[in-house]
Amino acid sequence: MIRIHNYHKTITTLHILMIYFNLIIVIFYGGVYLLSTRYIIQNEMSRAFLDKLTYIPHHPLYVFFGSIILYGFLILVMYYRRIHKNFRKQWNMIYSCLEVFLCFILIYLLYMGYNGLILLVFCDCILYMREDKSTRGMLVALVIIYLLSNYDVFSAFMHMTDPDAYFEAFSVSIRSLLMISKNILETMNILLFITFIIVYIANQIEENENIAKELDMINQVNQELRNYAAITEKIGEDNERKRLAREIHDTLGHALTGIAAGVDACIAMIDIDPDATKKQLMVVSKVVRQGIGDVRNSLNKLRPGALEEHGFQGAIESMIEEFTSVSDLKIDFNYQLDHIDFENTKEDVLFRAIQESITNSTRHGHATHIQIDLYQQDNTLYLKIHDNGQGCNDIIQGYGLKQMKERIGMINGEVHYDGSDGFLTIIMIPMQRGENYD
Amino acid sequence: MVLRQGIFKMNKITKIMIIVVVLLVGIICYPQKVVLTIGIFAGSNWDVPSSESYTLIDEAIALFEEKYPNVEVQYESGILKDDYSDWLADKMLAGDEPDVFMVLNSDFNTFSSLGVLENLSSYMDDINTSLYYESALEAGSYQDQQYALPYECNPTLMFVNKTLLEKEGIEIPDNDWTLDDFYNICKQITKDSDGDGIIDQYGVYNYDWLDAIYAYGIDLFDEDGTECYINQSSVKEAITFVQKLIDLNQNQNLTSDQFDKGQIAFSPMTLAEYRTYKPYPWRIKKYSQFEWDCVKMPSSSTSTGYSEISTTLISMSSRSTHKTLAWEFLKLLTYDTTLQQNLIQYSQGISALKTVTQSDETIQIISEEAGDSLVNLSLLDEVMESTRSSSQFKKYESIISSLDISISNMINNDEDIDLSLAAFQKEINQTLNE
Repeated sequence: MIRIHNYHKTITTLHILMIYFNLIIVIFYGGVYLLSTRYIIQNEMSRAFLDKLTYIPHHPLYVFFGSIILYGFLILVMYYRRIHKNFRKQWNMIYSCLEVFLCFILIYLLYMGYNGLILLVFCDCILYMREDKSTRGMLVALVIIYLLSNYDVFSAFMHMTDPDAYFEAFSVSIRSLLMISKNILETMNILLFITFIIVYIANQIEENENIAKELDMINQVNQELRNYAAITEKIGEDNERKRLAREIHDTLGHALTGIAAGVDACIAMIDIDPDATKKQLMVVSKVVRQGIGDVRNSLNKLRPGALEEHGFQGAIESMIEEFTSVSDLKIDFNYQLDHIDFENTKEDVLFRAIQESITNSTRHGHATHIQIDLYQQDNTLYLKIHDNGQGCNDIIQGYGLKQMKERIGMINGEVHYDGSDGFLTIIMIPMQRGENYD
Repeated sequence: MVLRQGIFKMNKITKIMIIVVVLLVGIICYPQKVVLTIGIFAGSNWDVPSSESYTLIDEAIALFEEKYPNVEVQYESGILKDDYSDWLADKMLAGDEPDVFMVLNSDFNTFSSLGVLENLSSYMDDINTSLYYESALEAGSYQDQQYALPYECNPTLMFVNKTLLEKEGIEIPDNDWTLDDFYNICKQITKDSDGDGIIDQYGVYNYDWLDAIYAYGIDLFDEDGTECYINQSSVKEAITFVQKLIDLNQNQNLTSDQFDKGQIAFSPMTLAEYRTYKPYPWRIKKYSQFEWDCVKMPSSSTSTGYSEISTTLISMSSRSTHKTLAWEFLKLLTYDTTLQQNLIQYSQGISALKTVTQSDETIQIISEEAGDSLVNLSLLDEVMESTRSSSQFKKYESIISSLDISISNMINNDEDIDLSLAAFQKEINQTLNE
């Protein structure tokens, strides 16, 4: 923060220094033109002076005051540009053009004797530079104007008064004094310009470095998050495993232990007391049935929670809701199976298939719309999932798709994929007797 | 919306500045009397005594102000011709030259090249240029563009000492005489009349190489002033001719005193000098010891050759704020026949307008002045038709003056003409293309 503050302070100071220096130079040139005109007229050299000129000069007072007033306007524009902070791109362009225009008129008024003003305008433009073509074009145009706007080049295209003639009009001692002052002023201006550019570029480099550092940091945080997610997944898996073990232990374990003990008792008793053995076997049978019931309960506990809570249709709708609420994705769900009662396994498989497809559509296809149709036709259950994403020509069956195919195979269904227009998944499952209950 | 907010946001200084600018524009645009300034010099352009130099300008101003009551024409009086060039240069440098001003021949090329003279080509549709003598109009054109119009012309004639010629029994030459005739008469005249062994009668005074160049009809430069053609046989002929004339005098340097005493038969003389010294009162003050007259300048043959013409030009400033008015005034001075007719009376030159030069009034004025002179309408018209203005490019004046010195030296020192001319041409071409 302090560094940025320092930078702004330095740049502003340099800019203001350049403004002051250029004011001095403008007054210097205007003054030389004005005074040398006086000098020439007083020393009766005007006719000879006209012979040295290539073109008639402007009114010297207009040049003097005109250039100072124009410079004032230029500074006013720069000032407004500074306080008018939140301007749009067009305004930036308008300001730049206005500055270049004023600057060029000013240089023209001073007979192209001094073109360092363009450096000042260049500095001002670069301060508000946005990364776009027009600004860069502007800077290139400024460089071209800088190269062209001196008397030697410009007088080839246009009639102009030679600015040097005014300096040469004076006697040698005054002339050399003027030339020295002129050179010092112009060199100072160029030095200020170079310093300005160095500070500006140094700051740019520093800013880029800062951005790179921040990006590094973000990457690091991302990596940590990924690690954390992996750990969480592992912990979840462990928990699941423990829960499975506990379930098996609590249900099957107890039942099987009981059955084993009962059967052992039966083996010992069967020859002595067949009736008691029969009774004992009845008990074992009861335990087995109870065990089956427990196992079914355990399996029910492992089903997706949503299916348990909302039923098949409700579970799918709430899953869709979950997807759409966190992204721009739009999902149309067309459910036409009102009078059907599935086995839990079938519901599970269909639910997982829809979940997998939606995940694939968003992750790989970048789809924004998914159409899901679930209907029954000719004793076959159809599930069509069609998205508007990128699709793909060669379908590489990853873990998800393989898994889906296997699961659906388990319930005698078949799967077709088509990646030519978005991505289309068609799942067909033959209906079993008793599933239609009306 | 942004704009409106901007206006409301403006601070006091900006508002005040806008008001000041509006007021200034208002003041500048408020109708007021237009002042048209004129730059003229006192006296004649051709160094002859002149007492009525402002009469015609005053007349023109009165006419103009009558026609445009809203206009006031001003001029600064008392600027001598010798100071005029400096005065005008001062004004130009300070940026406040007059709207309409006279331009000396020696300044015309420089001023045209500087762009301080308004290019009149676009205004020329306003006038019928065929009414002007071609050479007079040409004097105001620079690189094919008209920058000035002729106000008054002054062709060069040849002064003839009638008394001297009659004494030697030589007939006064007629107007279509040639250089050969000229040389023959000079040769006959040049002699020792009182028998003291020193020549005391001479042929010609002040006839320089440029007169001969004109007589041969030679163009020394191309139109743009980028090339010089001095190294050609006709130039050599012309210079040899001048040399022959000088050789007749046997190394004596002639003075104007000898000329005034009537010892010299010929000398180039401008029409202005003729018109000044021929009538009363000057005729009894100058050249009073002999009869004299003027004829056309001799040419190499009757069909070729020119004589020099000097023209007073009037231009308008390219920076004038009242260009239409300036052009109207310029037109009045140079194109108005009544005014130009009066010019014949007040001044010593002649109008560049054919109708004025050929008018009955002009004939009458000239013949009144001249008495039984040979200078009459047909001569003037013929002279005006066969004159030529000097070339129009910026360095012309400086090159001619340095060339004048070089050629005079060459003639005096009897240097080889061919070699010298070749050297001059090389040198001048270098200067021209610098």
